[in-house]
Amino acid sequence: MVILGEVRTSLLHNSLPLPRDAVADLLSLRPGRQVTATDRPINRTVSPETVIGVDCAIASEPRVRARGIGTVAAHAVVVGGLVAQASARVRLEWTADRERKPWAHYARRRGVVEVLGGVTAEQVLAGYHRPGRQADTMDLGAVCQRLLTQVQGRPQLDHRTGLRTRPTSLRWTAVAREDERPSVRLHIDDEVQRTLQVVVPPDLLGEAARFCEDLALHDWLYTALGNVVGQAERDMAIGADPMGVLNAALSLLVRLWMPGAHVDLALRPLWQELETTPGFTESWDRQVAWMRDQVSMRTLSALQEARH
Amino acid sequence: MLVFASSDKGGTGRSVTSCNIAFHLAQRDDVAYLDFDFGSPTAGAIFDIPRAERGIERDGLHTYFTDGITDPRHLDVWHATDRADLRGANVRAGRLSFYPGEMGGAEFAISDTATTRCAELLTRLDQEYSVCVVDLSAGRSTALEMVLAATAQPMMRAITTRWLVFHRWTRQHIVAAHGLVYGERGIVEIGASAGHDPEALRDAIRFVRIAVPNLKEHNPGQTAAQATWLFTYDEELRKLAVDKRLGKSRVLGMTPVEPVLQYREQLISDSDVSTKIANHATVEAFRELAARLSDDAVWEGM
Ligand SMILES: Nc1ncnc2c1ncn2[C@@H]1O[C@H](COP(=O)(O)OP(=O)(O)O)[C@@H](O)[C@H]1O
Ligand SMILES: [Mg+2]
Repeated sequence: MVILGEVRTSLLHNSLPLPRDAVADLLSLRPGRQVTATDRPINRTVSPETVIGVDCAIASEPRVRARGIGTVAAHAVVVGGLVAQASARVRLEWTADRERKPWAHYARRRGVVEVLGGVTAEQVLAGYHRPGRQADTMDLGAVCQRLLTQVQGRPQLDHRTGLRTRPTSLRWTAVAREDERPSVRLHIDDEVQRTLQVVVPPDLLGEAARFCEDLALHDWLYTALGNVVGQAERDMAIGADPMGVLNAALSLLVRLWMPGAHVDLALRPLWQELETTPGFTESWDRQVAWMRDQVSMRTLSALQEARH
Repeated sequence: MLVFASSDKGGTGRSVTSCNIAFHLAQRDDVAYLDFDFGSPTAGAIFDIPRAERGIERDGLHTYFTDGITDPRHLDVWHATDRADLRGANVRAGRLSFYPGEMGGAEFAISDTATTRCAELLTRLDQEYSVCVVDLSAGRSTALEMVLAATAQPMMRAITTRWLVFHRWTRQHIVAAHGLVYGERGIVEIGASAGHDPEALRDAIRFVRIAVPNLKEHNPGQTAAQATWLFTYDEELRKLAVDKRLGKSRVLGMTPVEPVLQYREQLISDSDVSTKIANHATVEAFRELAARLSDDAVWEGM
C-alpha cells in the first residue's frame, strides 16, 4: 500500500498569533462541518477534510502510461495560531479496470485514487520523488497551494506580515511493509523543497500524514530561523539594526518547537532517527541561543550608552 | 513593499531602470522582480538570462493569470545570469528572484478572476520578499488596471505600495507622464474608481527622470549658442514639470545618459564602472533611486 502526499507550510498572514477560537473560525471552511482541535502541548487545529476529484496521468520513473481516478483528500492545519499548513494526500490502489466507473464509486472512497495501467508501485514512487514534476500529471502541490491561498485570504486575518518567511513544501510517500521497523528518509532538494520517504507497518499507515505534517512544520521553523539568522548577519555586516527581525523571530517562532508532540507514540521513533542525523533540536537550540545572545548584548550596550 | 513601475510611453527606460533598482535593493534584502509587461517581456535580457531572454516557454506569469496554475516559475538571478560579475559579487546579498513573462504572451482581458489572482500572488510574495518590483507595460495597460484593482482589495490594504512613473526629459514625455497620472483614465482616476483614496494614491506616486543630459559637463564640441539654448530650454522643461505636478518634491530621482545603455539593455555593476566602461554617476543614480525608494521619509504625504 502506498500513500503520496504533500504539505505546504507558511506563516499565517497576521501580525500576531490568532486566538484559538479565531483559528477555529478561520478553518471552518465548510459550513456545518466542525474543525478538530487539540490544545496540548500547543494548539493545533485542523479544518474539515475536503475532497477533490481527479482523473489524470500519474508520474512514474521510468515513464509508463498510468492513469489515476479518484479523489484527493486535503485539509488545512494551523499550529499555535501562527503557522498555516495545507496537506493533501492520496492512497493508491491498483485496479484491473480499463475504464472509468461511475463517479459514485470513487466519491465513496475519500482520498483513494485507483491506478489503471501497467505501472508498478516502485515506478510511481520514483516518479513522485524525481526532481521537477512531470508536466500534466497529478499535482498535489497545486491542491495545497489553492487551499493555503484560501486560508491566507480569510477575513479573520489582518494580513499584516509580522516576519518575512519563505513557504516550504514537503513531498512525501508512505509505504506499508509488514514486519519492518518504521523508517524515514528526508532529502533537502533545495532551499524550499523537501522530499520524505516513510516506511511503516500497515496498521500505522493512517498515522503517516500526521507525522509528515509535524516534520514539515519543524523543517519550516528550522528554515525560517536560519533565514532570520542570515538576515540578522547581513544587517550587522552593514551596520543596520538586526533587533527587529531577531525579536520578531524569538517571540513568534521559538515556542512552537516541539518535535513529535502531535505524533502517534508508535511513530515517535522516526523523530529520534532524524534527531540523530541530521540532528534538528540540537542545532535549533544553538541558533536560538545565538539570537538571544545578540539581543541581550545589544540591550546591555544600549543601556550602558543611555547611562553615559 | 510593492513597487509598481509604469510609464506612459514605451522605450522610456522603465524596464532597464527598474531592473537596476531591484539589483541594488537585493544587495541587502530579498527582492522579487515580476515582469507584468505581458506583451513584451524583456527583463530576462536585462538580467542576462539567455533562457528567458524574451520570456519563458511555459508556466510563467501569463499562464498564472490565464490558465489557473498556482506556482508561476521563477529564476534565481544570481544563478541564472550569464554575467559572472553578478554571481557572487556580494556574499551577503539577498535573493533576487525573477518571475518572467512568456514568449508569445499578450495582453489578456481583465476579469474579476484575474484581479483576485493578482491580489493573491502579490500578497503571497509580499510575505516572502522585502520588496517586489512589478514592471507594468507602457500606458494604460491591462496590467496597470489589474494591479490598481487588486491593490484596492481589503486583503492588500496593509501592504506598503509605491508607484514609479518613468519618463524622459523632453516636453512630450513630461506632458505624457502628467497625463498617465493625473489625466483622464489616468492612474489616479482608475485607482479611485477601483476603490483607492485618490489623495493617498497620489502621494504614493513618484516620478523618475531617465537619461537626463548633464549640462554642467564641459563639452568642447559645443558652440556658445547651443549651450545657451540648452540651458534656457532645460529651465523651461523644469517649469513645465512643476506646472504639470512632476516637480522636485514628486521626483524620486533621475538617471544620467549612459552610453552603455544606449547600446545595450543591462545591469550596470561596480565592475562595469571599475573597468571604466560605464559611468560612476550612473551606478550612483541607481543606488540613490534604490535607497530613496525604501526611505519612508521620502514618501511622507505632501
Ligand atoms: N540612463 C540611460 N541612458 C541611456 N539609455 C538608456 C538609459 N536608460 C535606459 N536606456 C535605454 O533606453 C531604451 C529603452 O529602455 P527600456 O527599459 O527597454 O524601456 P521601457 O521598458 O520603458 O520600454 C533601452 O535601449 C535602454 O537601454
Ligand atoms: Mg520594457
